[in-house]
Amino acid sequence: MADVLSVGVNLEAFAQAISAIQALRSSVSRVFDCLKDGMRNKETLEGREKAFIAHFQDNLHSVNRDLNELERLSNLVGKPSENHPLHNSGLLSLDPVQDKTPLYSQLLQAYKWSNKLQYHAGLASGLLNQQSLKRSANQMGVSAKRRPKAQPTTLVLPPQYVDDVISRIDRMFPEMTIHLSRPNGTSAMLLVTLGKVLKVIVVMRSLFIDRTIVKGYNENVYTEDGKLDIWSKSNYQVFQKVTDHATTALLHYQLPQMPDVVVRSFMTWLRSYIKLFQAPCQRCGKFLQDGLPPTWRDFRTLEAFHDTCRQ
Amino acid sequence: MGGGAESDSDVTEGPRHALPRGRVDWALCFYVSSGAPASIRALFSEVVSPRVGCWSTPHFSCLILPSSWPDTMGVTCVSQMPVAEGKSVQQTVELLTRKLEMLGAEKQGTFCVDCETYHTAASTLGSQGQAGKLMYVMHNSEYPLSCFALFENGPCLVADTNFDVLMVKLKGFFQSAKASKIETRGTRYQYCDFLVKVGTVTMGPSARGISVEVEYGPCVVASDCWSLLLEFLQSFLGSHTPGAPAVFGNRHDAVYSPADTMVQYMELFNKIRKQQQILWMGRDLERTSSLSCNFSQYPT
Repeated sequence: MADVLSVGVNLEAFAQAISAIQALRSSVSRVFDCLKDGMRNKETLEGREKAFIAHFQDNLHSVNRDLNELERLSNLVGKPSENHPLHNSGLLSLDPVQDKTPLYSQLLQAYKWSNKLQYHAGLASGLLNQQSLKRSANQMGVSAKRRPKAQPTTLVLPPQYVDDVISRIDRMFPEMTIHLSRPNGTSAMLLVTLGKVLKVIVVMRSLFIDRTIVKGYNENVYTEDGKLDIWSKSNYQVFQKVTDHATTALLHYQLPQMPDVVVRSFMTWLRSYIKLFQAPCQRCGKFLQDGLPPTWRDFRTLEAFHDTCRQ
Repeated sequence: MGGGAESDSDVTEGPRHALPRGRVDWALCFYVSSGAPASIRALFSEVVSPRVGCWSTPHFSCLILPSSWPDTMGVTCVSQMPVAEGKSVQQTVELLTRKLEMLGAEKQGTFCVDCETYHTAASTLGSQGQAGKLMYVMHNSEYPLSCFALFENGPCLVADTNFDVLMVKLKGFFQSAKASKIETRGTRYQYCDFLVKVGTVTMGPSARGISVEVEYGPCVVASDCWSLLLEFLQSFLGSHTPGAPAVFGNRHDAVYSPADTMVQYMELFNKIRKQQQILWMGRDLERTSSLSCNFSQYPT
């Protein structure tokens, strides 16, 4: 009730203020009129000057008076919007026809929502900065200054260390043989032979796995000039499918702080393909679905599923 | 093999499964090692001498399985499909191929496997009292540049196709059995990674049976994928699904080779031959019994 009353008082003040502004404007325009008209209609130059100055002084006085009046009124009007957290948009709450234009409630909701969003985005960015998921240095463009710092831990490891990690993994799995070569500079390429089931070409950059290609045990993995063929895919549909899944696994096993663990997890997962043709699907119990054996291996349990049988 | 030549073969490779040449051997070394009498050695010098003008090259590549064989193929099962009741061979084949096409298999040309039987000539049997062995010389359209020579339960030789010419040269020691040629011809079907070949087995002019060959290309160890293969066979052979071929059991986790397929074909052909013999014997018996019946009608 008090609110409404004060608004009423203010409204009166507003009306007076508006008329004061009008008065101010007309007195100001009179000043300029007088300046525009200049000196005239007097016989002597002295008389003309005197009349003009007096007229000009009158006009300025009235401007001054009107301005003072406006200042006085503006104090009366006060600043009603200042109390409101939404500032001027808070005035929308004064709209009496809420049902037709529910602008104010919508505005409040949008405001809350954007507040929350900002809060959560802040939290997320804090967490993401701790655990950088970026696989390549080129993408770390956000803070170019920090890039050289991030590299030594993950991307620039001595080849000797990579060799050690790989040979340790090689010894861990007896049915898996890993042949490491470095045909192009420091990046290692692995030829993994898994039992008599399949061969995998793994292209590494430091200890990051960049690319894998799965081929059959009896397929040729070398190009004509005796290099590892890292581009052509397998002739068999089953190994093309396994290649796709292996690429998925590369993206799944990510732990930038401990790249050797990533390689080991990937190899452990890969090893479950030793039973590619022997394990029936854990869901439908069959070997074949559309002519393909269960090509998917669960990332945690390593159980065999058909591509369409997994969750 | 003593006579291993150093030069690699320059024969161009075939369409699929071209058998690569790991090393080159004289074909006769195989024969000598498989128990030929010493008198053969005289012939040895004749065959390899440049006077033999029928070969474009005097080199002859040959490998003895399984130790020195580098090539592999997908695990394959060859089986016989019985002719459906009241149907001809041709109709049963059509029934089978229609079933395959319904499954989604795509036609991919034709195939042919043939087999000729040789027996060792009496003159070459040594004094040790060796029994005459049967040797089978086979060809497979899947390996157009190769020729397979097999002994029953014995070694399998994979050689160039001009091995046939050598067999002509060796006719004093191996004689071709009369009218022994048996072959199977039919259509190849591809379904995913499976290769299915349904063929009509013919001896001379008449059809004698149906052969079904299923190859699973990605897998090279027979024991690994037998269950998987069985499931596929059941999907279109139904109750006629065969048991595991004998060659699967022989070599536990060895890599499957084209020669294993040829051994299966040899066994299939022998089985069909025996079935025919029993059939003929049965007919002979019928004829003689009907004759005796006729005789009995007459008073003696």
